[in-house]
Amino acid sequence: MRCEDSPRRIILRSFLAALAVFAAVFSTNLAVAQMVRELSGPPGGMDMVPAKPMPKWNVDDVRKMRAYPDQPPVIPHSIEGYQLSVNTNRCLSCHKREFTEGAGAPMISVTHYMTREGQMLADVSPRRYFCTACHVPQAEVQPLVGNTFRDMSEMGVEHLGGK
Amino acid sequence: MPEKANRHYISSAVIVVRPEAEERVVRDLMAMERVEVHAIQGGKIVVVIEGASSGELGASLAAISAIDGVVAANMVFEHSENVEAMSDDRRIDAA
Amino acid sequence: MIGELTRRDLIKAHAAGIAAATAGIALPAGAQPVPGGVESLEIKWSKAPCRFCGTGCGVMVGVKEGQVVATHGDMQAEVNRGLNCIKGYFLSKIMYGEDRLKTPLLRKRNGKYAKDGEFEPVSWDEAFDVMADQCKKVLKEKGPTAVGMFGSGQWTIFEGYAATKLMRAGFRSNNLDPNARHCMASAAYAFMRTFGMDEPMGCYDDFENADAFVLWGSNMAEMHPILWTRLADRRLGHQHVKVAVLSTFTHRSMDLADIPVIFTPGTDLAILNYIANHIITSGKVNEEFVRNHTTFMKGVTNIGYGLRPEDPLELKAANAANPANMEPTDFESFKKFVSDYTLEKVADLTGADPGFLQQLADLYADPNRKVMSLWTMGFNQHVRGVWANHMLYNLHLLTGKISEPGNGPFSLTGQPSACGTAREVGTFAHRLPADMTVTNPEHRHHAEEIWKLPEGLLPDKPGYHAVQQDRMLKDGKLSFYWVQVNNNVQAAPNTKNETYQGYRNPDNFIVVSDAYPTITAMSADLILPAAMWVEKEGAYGNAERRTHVWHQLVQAPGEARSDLWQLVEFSKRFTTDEVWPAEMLDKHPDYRGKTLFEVLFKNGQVDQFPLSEVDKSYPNNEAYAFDFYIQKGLFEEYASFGRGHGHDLAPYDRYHQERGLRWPVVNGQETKWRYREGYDPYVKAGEGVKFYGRPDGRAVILAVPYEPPAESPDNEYDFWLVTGRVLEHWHSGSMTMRVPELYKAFPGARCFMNADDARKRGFNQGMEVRIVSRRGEIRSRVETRGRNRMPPGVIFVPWFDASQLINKVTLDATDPISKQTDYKKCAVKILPVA
Repeated sequence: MRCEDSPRRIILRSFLAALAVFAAVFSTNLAVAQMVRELSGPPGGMDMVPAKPMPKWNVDDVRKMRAYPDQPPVIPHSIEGYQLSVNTNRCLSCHKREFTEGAGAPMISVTHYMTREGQMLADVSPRRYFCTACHVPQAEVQPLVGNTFRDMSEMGVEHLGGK
Repeated sequence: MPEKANRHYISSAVIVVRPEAEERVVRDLMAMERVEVHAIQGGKIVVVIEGASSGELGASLAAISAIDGVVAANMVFEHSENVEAMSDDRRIDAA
Repeated sequence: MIGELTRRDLIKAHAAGIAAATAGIALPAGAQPVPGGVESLEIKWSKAPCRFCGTGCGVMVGVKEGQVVATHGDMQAEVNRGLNCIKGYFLSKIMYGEDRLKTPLLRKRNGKYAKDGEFEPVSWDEAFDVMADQCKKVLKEKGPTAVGMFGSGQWTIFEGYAATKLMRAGFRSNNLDPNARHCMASAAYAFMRTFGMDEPMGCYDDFENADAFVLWGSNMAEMHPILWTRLADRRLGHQHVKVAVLSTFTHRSMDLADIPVIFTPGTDLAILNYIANHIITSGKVNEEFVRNHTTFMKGVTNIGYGLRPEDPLELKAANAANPANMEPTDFESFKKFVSDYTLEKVADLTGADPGFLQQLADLYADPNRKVMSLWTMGFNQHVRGVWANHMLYNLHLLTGKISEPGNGPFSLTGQPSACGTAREVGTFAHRLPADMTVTNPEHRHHAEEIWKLPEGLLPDKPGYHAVQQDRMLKDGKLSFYWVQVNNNVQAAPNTKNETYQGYRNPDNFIVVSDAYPTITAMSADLILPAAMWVEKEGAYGNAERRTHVWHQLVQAPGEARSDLWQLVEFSKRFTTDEVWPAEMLDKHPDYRGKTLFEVLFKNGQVDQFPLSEVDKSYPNNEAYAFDFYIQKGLFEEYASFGRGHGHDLAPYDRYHQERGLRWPVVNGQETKWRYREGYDPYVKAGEGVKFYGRPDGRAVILAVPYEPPAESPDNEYDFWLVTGRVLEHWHSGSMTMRVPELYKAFPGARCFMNADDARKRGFNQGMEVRIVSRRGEIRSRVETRGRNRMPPGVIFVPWFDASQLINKVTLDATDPISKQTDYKKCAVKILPVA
């Protein structure tokens, strides 16, 4: 809205300012004002609410940065219908060392070749066989609430080779 | 390049041994020059190897690989710098 | 010591450190890379157990600038040897949800507490003032039986122990129960009834020693993923090993099954008796073992379903009043009793493949095959859960396959300290520490002695169990109620008609301590912000009797305080004159005028360890707040209950050095297999096997039948509803739903359903439906693909999503003996959303 600075507008402006202050006070008063029903239940406690539509999986095949080096990478594609049984492991058919060149998939890390006793094996360790225990796809949804976790690289680290 | 001759090389390696041979291999390693045993656990031995050249390190590692009972010997880390810098009198306080 | 090191030494130490890290082994302390050199990159790493399930994985927690910045599996932890599941890997983020509660919140109207008021921030002082007033008012008007507390298998050992002292000795109420009641009460009761002592005889080392694994109602691949890696390691690495998985639907654990068995809900009881029958008729009974180490009993039948007493099902049940009764019998009668359960009959009743049933029975019968049986909620959340546990012990006892490496029944737990806190500390409504009970006068007397309290102080009547607490809240018989570390409005069965009603009953004052605004917190009158996990010093006990201690590593946000601080600080608001009978104080005038803090915690025992014993390199808010090493004091007082009685714990300080130790810890050594000579120091030379928890040293083989569930599908409500968990979310999701990666991995509950069932009703994948029972309904989305493949007539809905409160739909039927809810069997109909 483009108009001259009329008294009316000033009133509106101060009203909005007051509203903002009120909202701020109100929201500190109600520290729990912003309720997310998936976390805190429906507004009326036991009300019945519609079920959100099922989201789509992220399928862009773009590697996602890990939140810290020890985190297992998430899967940037859908794994719907993937078979993972004693005789078949669809994940390994691309991510195993021998197949990565043909598939263009990242190789599973060397830690996956280690036994419980820490010995290296010629093939993936059976204890690492069920990939989905640690690696998960990601749906195209926004987080329900923010997370204030801070990346360690933001904490005054002098990066090697950073200059 | 005279300074090259004065460089000192430090590397570390993980040696995987057959469990029954562990004790004997450790003894042999300890007897080797410029090889230090830093940790032993569950059939794996961490050693630090020093030398005047990269080739010297390699030779030590090859010798280790040849010890009976050694399944694998893998270099993990290698570092080199001038001897002056390394052995000068700078002291560092450590707990 | 100030050492003098040259740069060369430093580089060597660094080189060794990197190699050791690569190899996943620990350097001796002297050889660690020297701190200081790479300071800006440094993260302080400390050990802790994982915050989630009962597996009890060890994690290394990295702290920088007062925050957890990374976690990874602890290579030195025996349990997991460096592995974590997806939840464990994201522990770093569970404390940092943006909606953390940072200040107490009280429902107020016009500046004063009002049941129908809105939440307003208040100080801790005001919160405790109002809370103490309400508590005193209820005590005065209705007596101690109107005061209660609902705790948790996620409480630290100190917290559970402080709570049991405060409730039983302080307020003289046994209305203390943990959410573990919903989780493994059936297992705990059956252990006590069979062996006279709670908890498994074996340990996780059985995974590397068994020749066969049988999962009875446990989806370990999702619910105990790290134990699943050990099981998979054994199965995939050894050709002869077999895995049998029994369930009411096909799930991820079936991927590894050589013997998959899908059965009609509730009929597992018949399968168990069939196997006993098969062992006997095929001549595979270990007669020597049975003769020397077992005794036969017969249980009463027709025991009801733990519903409200006026329910028609209860009125019809002949033994609803005394469901736990058993009488002696003998092998011949037992043999005759199970002879009814033939393969043909049982295959017919269960709908299971007879070929697989026989293969399964042969696993147990074969004397050369070591069998590890595993179970969780499929067995325990069962209206005949105690029976199911017994019937499985029968199989291991008949064959003598117990208490030795690779052979044994192993009950898994769902919470990190279900064993350590709920069971061992004794936070159940009928229990005292170290397997003692409130109904036994000697046990009460023993507790009064250890606690240095007047004789006769402890109440002798068992309190209200979990489901009963909700009913009594609703009925106004329980009116002051404190909830810690659980989310029971989401977790409790039939919550809309029972639990929620109780919380909002105007007669009641409800306090909820939590880190986040859960639906339970939002249903309360006062919310207390809680510190969680490594924001406090703690101790958990996992499913294999492993006690694991951790240091406080970071500070909780705002004014959040640990449950331990809350319990102990609140005790300062009461004097003995206000809560104990006048006659008792007349007899014991020394206690007169003292605060509960003084008589329970500053009692010369709990406060005996000075601050100088606290490790200065870690924070410890509680120790500094109370001016003594309270965690150590509580632990040592608690440990005195069990030492010398088969529950020995090591000295507290040792646990800071170890990745946990399995009790009994005798002469500094942990015990891996109980009841067998050579493994268990309590079994004397020459005794071989001794079930010393029971006076006769013999374990019980119990004859009990198949009885049907409380509610089965009919023409109108034509589906079985099974509820449970998914890998990515833990329990009610209050932690995992706040981790973006975990939320995105499983964003919202859904209704897993058979594809033909869906097609017949015109439902497509992803369509919105109503799930309706006689108690309530929710809306969800149809999932016919996905990880769970349902047989016709059965649906599965996980309960982590507060916007799809499936417990509005479930039935509050319990096992009549253990009082544990059956979340796996009720009848529903599925309707389109109009």
